[in-house]
Amino acid sequence: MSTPQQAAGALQDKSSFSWPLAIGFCAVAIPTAYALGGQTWSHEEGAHGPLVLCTAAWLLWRQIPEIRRRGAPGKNWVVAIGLTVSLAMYIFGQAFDFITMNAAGLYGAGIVIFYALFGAGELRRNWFIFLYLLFAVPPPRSWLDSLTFPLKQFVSTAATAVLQPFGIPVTHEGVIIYVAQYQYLVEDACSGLNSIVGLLAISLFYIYLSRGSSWRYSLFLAALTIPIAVMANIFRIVILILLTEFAGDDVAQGFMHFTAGIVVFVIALALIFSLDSLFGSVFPGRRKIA
Amino acid sequence: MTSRRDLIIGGACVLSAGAVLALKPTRKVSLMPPGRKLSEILPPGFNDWSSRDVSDLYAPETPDSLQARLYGETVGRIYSQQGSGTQIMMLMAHGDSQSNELQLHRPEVCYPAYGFSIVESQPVQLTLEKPVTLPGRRMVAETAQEKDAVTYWTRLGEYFPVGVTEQRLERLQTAVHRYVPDGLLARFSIAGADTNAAFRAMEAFISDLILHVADDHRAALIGTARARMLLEAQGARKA
Repeated sequence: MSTPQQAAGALQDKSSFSWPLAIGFCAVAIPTAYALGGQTWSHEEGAHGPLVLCTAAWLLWRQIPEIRRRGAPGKNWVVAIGLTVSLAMYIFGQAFDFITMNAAGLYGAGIVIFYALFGAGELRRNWFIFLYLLFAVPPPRSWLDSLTFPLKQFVSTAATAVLQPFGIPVTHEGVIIYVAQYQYLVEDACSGLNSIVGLLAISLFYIYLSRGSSWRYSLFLAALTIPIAVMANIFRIVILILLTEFAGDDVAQGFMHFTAGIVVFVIALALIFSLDSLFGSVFPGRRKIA
Repeated sequence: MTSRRDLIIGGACVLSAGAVLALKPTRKVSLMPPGRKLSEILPPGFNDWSSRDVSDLYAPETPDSLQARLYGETVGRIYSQQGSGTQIMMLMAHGDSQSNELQLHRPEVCYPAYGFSIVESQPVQLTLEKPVTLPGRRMVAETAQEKDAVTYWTRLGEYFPVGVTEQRLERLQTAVHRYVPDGLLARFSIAGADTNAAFRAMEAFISDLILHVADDHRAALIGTARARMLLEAQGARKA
């Protein structure tokens, strides 16, 4: 009884917006956002979270016309299994306060809903955005701790090794640095792990925007990001030691402690961008997206 | 247009959110005597021990430090014994609600963060008064200049985790029983080379210290069950 045009219109409506899905997703997403906001976004180790969420949402939003045109609903049994597993993780993580499991469950539920609407083909085609979105899931604290400590040791050793040849009276023991009469503890924030994660996320976002989702190239630049971030943090500690030595403890511990972090982050980012423009022109197998 | 499938998916999500509300522990349980502070219930001196308060047993404090976020109250004291000159560093920290974000930091994790390497670490049963014992841990930590013998225990509600994994599992157990526990870290250390003598001295001291805490305040340090057992053991000895 309906004309082909009406049928097409109905189909369009169906894929455009679904109240039950929106309400359901918000019901699980809002409590998680609240938990993340209180537990990780407000600290340095998770500060990139909201940024990743917003940029990922924007990347996905740009693709929506294409996704709608090509997408076809996914299989029911896959949705059923995926949703059961994701929501079970979500309930456990949210109720018993395990933030990683909470966020991972929500992430899974989001992927399943996307799959239900648009199918596996569209999930594959936008793999980069979903991978990027993983940066919004905080890793377990124990993983972070096991990486942070060796990194702290390494940046402390490297920073003192850089300065000693210049006759600066600096020594270190483990993660404690002695400058003149002062003694500094290299804090977790200075290990550089946080800036590695943040820099990695921003770099990937930038690579995707400028060069599309070539996985080889993304991997290559991501691998470069790690040593750059570590060097940037060594540089940050060197600056702080020099400030202590020449401008005094107050300057180093006050305003500059914070500023040095930002400045170093920006320098590292600039370095990555310039490396990209250097290698990007010679690297094969990339495609430009409009 | 709304499909039946959308309704099922959306409904499952809303139900999950409801399940969380039903499961989430809301009741806070603290073993601290109401209106009392750690610094009040721990005797500043007893027998031939006297003490002075210190604040820098940790590394330098900063306002946003983890320590400030973790614990509601910390007490740092150095107890000295008159005759022998033995000095024992004590750090007690209490946090009202233990969650993923705010949980006890175990010395075997935080000593390395302050530049120590741990050369020895093993669980131990601290004897409070025969036959009452308390599960804790002995640890030897050293830097190039310093060697510390450390004895400590942690209390999570009524549990006494002796490792990171136990601590996590026991927090889960409290969540399953639908309450949020309080947490206590009790750490004692002696600096010096003879760690065996140090452990003996500290463990005798710990037992003495707890016996000098008022009967009805002991649960905050050693849990309700052990506080009661200790009272019974004392009663049996007197009888």
